[in-house]
Amino acid sequence: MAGEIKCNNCGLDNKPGAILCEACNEPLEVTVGASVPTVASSSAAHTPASAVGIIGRACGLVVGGNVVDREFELPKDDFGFTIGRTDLDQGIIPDVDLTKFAEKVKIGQDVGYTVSRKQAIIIRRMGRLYLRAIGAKTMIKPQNTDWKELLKDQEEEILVGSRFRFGGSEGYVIFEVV
Amino acid sequence: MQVELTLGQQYLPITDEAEVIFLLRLLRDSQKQSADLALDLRKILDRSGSMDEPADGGLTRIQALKAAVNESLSLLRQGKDRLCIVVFDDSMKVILDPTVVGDVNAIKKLIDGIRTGNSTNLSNPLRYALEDVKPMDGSLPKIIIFTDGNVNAPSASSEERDCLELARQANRLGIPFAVFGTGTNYNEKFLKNMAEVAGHGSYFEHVKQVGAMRLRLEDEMENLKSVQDLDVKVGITAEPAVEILEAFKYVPQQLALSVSGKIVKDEFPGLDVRGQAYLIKTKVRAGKAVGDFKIATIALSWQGVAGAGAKSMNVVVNFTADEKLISPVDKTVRNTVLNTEGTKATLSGQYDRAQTLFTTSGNTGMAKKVETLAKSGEDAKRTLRTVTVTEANNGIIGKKGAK
Repeated sequence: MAGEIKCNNCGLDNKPGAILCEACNEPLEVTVGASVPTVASSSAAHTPASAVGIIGRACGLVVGGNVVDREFELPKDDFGFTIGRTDLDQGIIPDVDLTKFAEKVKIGQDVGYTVSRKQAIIIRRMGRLYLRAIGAKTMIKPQNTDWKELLKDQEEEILVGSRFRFGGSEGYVIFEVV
Repeated sequence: MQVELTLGQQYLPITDEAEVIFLLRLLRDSQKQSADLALDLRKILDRSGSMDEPADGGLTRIQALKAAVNESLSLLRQGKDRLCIVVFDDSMKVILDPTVVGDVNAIKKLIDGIRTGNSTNLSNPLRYALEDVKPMDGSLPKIIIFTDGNVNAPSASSEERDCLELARQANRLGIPFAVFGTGTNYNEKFLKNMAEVAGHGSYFEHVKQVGAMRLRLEDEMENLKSVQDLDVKVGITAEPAVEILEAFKYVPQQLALSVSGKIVKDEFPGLDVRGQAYLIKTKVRAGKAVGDFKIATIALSWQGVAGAGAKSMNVVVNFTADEKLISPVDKTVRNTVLNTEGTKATLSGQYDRAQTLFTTSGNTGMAKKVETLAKSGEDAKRTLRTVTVTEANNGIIGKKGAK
């Protein structure tokens, strides 16, 4: 059956989700990933479970409407990180360099990026993740809603399924929280 | 209160039966103040003849205990916290009536005056601490017991029976115990049982060096002072197609919770700096369901400074045919399972297995402790059992390495 986990010690096929073998209680060899808790704050007492979202593991690049196999990890601690375009001349080295994801386009007579050097920050606060715009043309699309532009210093919580877009009408990049 | 739910796997393959494990963590809200309630400590101290035996630092056990109690007095807040001290051998003596702390030096003199006596009767001082000491409004009560011997006066069996009955009474009153034993002559199983029966966050600890009681008492007071939300109640109810196989809590120590039908319940007096954590292991008869599948409902309630609070959460996994969506096993959940199993192995004397489990989870410190202490005598093994149940899963609670 799909997803069964064979015990290396006794050979039993264990149910999906098992961590210890049902027969011999030995640890099973499973693929382990970073911890992804769902968080609910007491400040919203009586919050229904449906309102509690899932914090993502990473941001996957979206190409042609689909998430492709290129991503950057979301912060796992409370120190936010910066997203932008590296410019060594100006000493700007963001934690996530958008030039690895965006493509250069023709801008007037020149060819360059439309993403900003200082585009946005992702902050982890009280177990939740927020996207804060620090440069122009930062847009967000929470799951099941439409795109909206974030003004400078405006924040929006990001959950699994949230998408955000950086850059102008051409040469922009879209990520989805996965 | 912050509530955090972590699933072993969010996305599982479509299957007839699956195992779903989840970790529920309750943490203090970093934006809020502590409840700042008065402490109401009722200390019951052994002064039987064996307390004259040598302890650490060239002192006898009774001398080391008196020094530890005296040194920890500085953490009590004058004019606010209440202290009561009773000593016992085959009879009990009230050293300090329930008193709001004022003149600490006067209390120290009373403690210095404690002298050793005869055999061990714990039920009378326990009854005094439970029945004669009047409740103090707006306080956090705790009965702290220290002993080095078997309860034996008038007889071990009647004394143990009486003490367990008093522990049940403490449970009904919601007054938790902190029970400490030293040496190898006391009945570890009985003291542990007494703490479990008293419930509400009661615990038993073996103390290898009596002088270390100062740290234990200080930790106890700091934890109580940090309490934020009070009277916390937790209920986890499984869905009809779900069976709860095991449930554990981790503060103050790892403890298997009883499962009644499809329900696990727990309650404790206050959420302190360590928070609280529960690991729930379930068997799910999924019947090849596809998509979201509800496992259980979590209901929480508490009394906060600003009033009563409550929260309800659903535990939901997703069964999918898309192999790319299948989640890896959450690292924190896996390590909690391995550390919990390692602790169980330690308690049952399966030290090689415990070492393997702790090593597999990356808990090399605990693996080393098992390797070292399991080779030593009974005193070291008692220390190991206490250390394991208290610390093996410190990584998932708010305060790491409290001791």
